[in-house]
Amino acid sequence: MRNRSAALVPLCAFLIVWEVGCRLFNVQPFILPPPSRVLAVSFLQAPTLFSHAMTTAAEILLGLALALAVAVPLAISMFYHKVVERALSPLLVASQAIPVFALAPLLVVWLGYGVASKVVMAAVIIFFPIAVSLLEGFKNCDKDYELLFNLMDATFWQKLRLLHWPWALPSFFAGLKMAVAVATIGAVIGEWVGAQKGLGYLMIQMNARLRADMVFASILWLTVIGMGLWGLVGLLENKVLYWKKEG
Amino acid sequence: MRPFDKSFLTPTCPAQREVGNILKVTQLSKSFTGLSVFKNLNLEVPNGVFCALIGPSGCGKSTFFDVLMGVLPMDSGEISWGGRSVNDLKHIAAYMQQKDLLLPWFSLEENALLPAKILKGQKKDGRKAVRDLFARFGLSGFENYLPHQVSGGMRQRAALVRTLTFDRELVLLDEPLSALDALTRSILQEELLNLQLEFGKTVLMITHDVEEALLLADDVVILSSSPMRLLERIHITSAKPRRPSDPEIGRYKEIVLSELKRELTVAQ
Repeated sequence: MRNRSAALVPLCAFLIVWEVGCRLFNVQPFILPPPSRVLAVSFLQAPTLFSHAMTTAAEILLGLALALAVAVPLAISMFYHKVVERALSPLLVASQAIPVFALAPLLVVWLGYGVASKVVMAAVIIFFPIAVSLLEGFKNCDKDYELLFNLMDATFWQKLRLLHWPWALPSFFAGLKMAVAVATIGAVIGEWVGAQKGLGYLMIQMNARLRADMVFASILWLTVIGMGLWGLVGLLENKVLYWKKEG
Repeated sequence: MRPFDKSFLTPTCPAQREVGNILKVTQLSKSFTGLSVFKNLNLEVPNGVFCALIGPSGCGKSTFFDVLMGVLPMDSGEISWGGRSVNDLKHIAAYMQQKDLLLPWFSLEENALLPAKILKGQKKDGRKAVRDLFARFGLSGFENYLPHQVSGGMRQRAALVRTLTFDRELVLLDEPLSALDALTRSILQEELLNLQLEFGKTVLMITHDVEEALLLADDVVILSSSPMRLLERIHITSAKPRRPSDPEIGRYKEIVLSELKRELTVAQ
């Protein structure tokens, strides 16, 4: 707990400088609203923000589900078949070299203004860290343990279930945490390009109306969603990795 | 000049012990990229005999086991069990390494039940057998502990139980106790001995601890390094259980040590 409260010190200092600066130099709120105003708007406009946040959260979660559904089988097949790995790993790396933002307009054209294009967008971003971390986790497996299973003539599924999957879990969770941290980016970019709902959509709308306070309030809500997801993954990690040595 | 009286050694493999399944290794050779690890190695271990292999570290003992277990392919030679030629001992022997290799996410009992879960044709009453063995090894009450929650000695005992649940006549042990502290080791040495007496397993054990070999083994095989050769095979006649303080053990120890030292000086 002491570690966490330590993070509050620079945050508070930053907010105080911002607040005092805005008031001292009389900055127009449509350019930079003081944090107090952002906080007030976040609460006063909570119903509006909430309904948009739900859309964005749903997009992120569905994106996560889609990414997992593709990344997990892919990592498994890449691990067990070197040919698949050799064939796909250059493509995987190349896919990360493409600026995902460039795909957003196309995805909207292909999948429409609804939730689908944002889900795919989020999944494209999340997919890579999950697949790579899981594959690396599989590969890190101790050869002596593999030998133990081979001497027992364990089948592919037995090895996966009893050895490789649990072995890869710590690495998998590291990737998953990274994934949820960047997942909001995918959803928001998708919404910027064209949407009917969501916090990204709200930001664009409010920016056009010079409501910088609402833009900041949306960012605040996005941050809360991101941190909430991070926390959930952390809880799940503690639950699943009960066998990890403490400390 | 031999530093000891050769007549003290009894001939290898007395005829009266040649009943049941005999492990026979004939002219076994293995090399890595032209470098010979061992060449034309011959070894015979009769049924129910505890045979210790002792030699300088890095002499190729573990490679020998890997070849026996079929982990590495042999270059040439023959392995036979009970008069039948086999490719390797994968389906005949249980193999235990220095590392306990317990899965950290399973309890001690689940770890010990792993062979029962995976091996085909394994008895269904695995859990009862494991419980009995746990009681036998002083692990009762710790069945549901995770490996990192118990001491190294207990982990090694659980690994030993797992090795036994393989239900094989032949057991290969690759320095099973070398990672343990002296006290735990001496306790587990006793356990190993009782086990072999009780279950009548044929045991082939690699060790670099001369005393351990002398306390446990019926036959001590001394190996040389690069390439690994059988230098001497000493049959220990003293009754078990033996104690390090037994004068006879002290005498054997001198023989083995002088043989090992001689080999080292020759090598240098």
